[in-house]
Amino acid sequence: MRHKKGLLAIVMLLAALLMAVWLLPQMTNLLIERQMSLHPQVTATPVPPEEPWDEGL
Amino acid sequence: MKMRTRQTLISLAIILLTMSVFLYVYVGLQANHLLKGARENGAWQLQAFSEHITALERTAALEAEAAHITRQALVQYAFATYAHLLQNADRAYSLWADGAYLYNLSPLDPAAQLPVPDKVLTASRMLRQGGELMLISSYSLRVLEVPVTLYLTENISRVEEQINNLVRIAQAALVCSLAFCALVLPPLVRKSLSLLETLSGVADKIAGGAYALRAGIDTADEVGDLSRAFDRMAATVEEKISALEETNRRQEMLLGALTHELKTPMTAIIGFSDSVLTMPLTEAERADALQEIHEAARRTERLSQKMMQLITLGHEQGITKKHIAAADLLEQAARAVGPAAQAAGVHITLNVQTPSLWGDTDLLHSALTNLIDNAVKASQPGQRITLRAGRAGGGVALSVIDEGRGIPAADIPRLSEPFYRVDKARSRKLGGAGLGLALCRMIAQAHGGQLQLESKENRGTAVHLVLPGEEAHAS
Repeated sequence: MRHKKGLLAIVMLLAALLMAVWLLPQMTNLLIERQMSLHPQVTATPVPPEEPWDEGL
Repeated sequence: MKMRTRQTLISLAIILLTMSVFLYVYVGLQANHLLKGARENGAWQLQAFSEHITALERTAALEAEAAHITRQALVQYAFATYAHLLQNADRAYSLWADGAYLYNLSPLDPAAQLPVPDKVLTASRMLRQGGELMLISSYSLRVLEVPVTLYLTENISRVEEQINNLVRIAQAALVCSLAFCALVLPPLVRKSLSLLETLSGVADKIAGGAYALRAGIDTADEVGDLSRAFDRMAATVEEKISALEETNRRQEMLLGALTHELKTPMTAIIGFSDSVLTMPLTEAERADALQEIHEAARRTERLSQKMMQLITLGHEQGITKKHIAAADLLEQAARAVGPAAQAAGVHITLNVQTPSLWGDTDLLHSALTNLIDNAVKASQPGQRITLRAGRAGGGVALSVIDEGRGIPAADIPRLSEPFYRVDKARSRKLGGAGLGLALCRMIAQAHGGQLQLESKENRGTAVHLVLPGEEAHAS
């Protein structure tokens, strides 16, 4: 029983390692997909009209 | 599961979790940084390109009323000149104006893929084309009064490859570090727990009877503390077991000696009673036999009384102490043994140097009569026995000093053992069972004192019953 528990713990540890290794590229693929779904735009700031020059000054 | 296996697995799990979190965060941030960098790079390149195009405005001297088509042609010419210089296999430029391409070398249709609304300065979009990751960037501006949009189509698969390389390095780091820890951790954990295994082995041996064994682990950590506590416990257990064994041995000896001592008077009682019952005896012989039976029965009674006292004192039952006048105590004891002393022709003298003492009257009387009785038995007619009560340290010493035959030095240490007699035949003949001194020693111990014996052969014996004072009892 005690050996079974140890074996189970080792198997779980290996499974966790494989999961971590497999999930890493999945995460970067998701990041790329997210970047592909983004369409960032920068809007030009409108220039305010110039005030007429006051000749009196 | 063994403790070392559990410790190793827990450590590996913690290392795996920590490294995974670190690598996931690092790779995620790096990937985002690379992708954002590609976008920013595209926008920056287009902005730099636009600087070249707008320089046209400073160099081309056009009349204000120059045709729109002429301006477009000039812009197209300037764009094409720079685009040819800058483009390569991964990078292509496009020029969009008035709903049509003035210049386009992109494999994609950038204006369709990234339509740019009015007032939008820059925009970008990533898309996948034939397995390649492509980035389209746009930059809108007015050149020579012509509104145009510059497009840059880039193949950024190299960025994706960089991210994939990063992922592979992270995966290798994760696997290698865990494999390294899996190799290094077990010996380390085993070494740190080896002292506990040593302790466990010692505990097993002690349980098997090796009570003198000690772990002797003298490290400065928790295992050392445990080992020292374990050794203290083992020492206490050894002491207790030794005491129990000694008690058991004494009880066995006492029981054996008692059986033997009871056998002698019983043999006499059975023998003489058989004679009375079965043999034709004269009145005188019958009277002698009955006298013998009576003596044997009395001896058995004395023996049982002394045994009872010994057992009572051995169980440390309470004794009643009070102030006793030393002179009265000595006189009563001398009077109790008086007939026997007179019969033996021995003189008893008193020497009282202290007025009183602190103790149990009955027990001290019993002890003194035993000691005087022994002294009488050891003395020759005409010799003197001195009873003395004097100060000794902070307490009192009751001494019985005779001038008798004395005791061999070799026998003195064993004299206070129950049923031990120097001259067994003579002692039994005189009615002694060898319990008197044992009883005196136990009475002294019950008072917190001790029994001291000095003797020289053919010169006499002095037995001192040393008792502590009242102050010692109070403290």
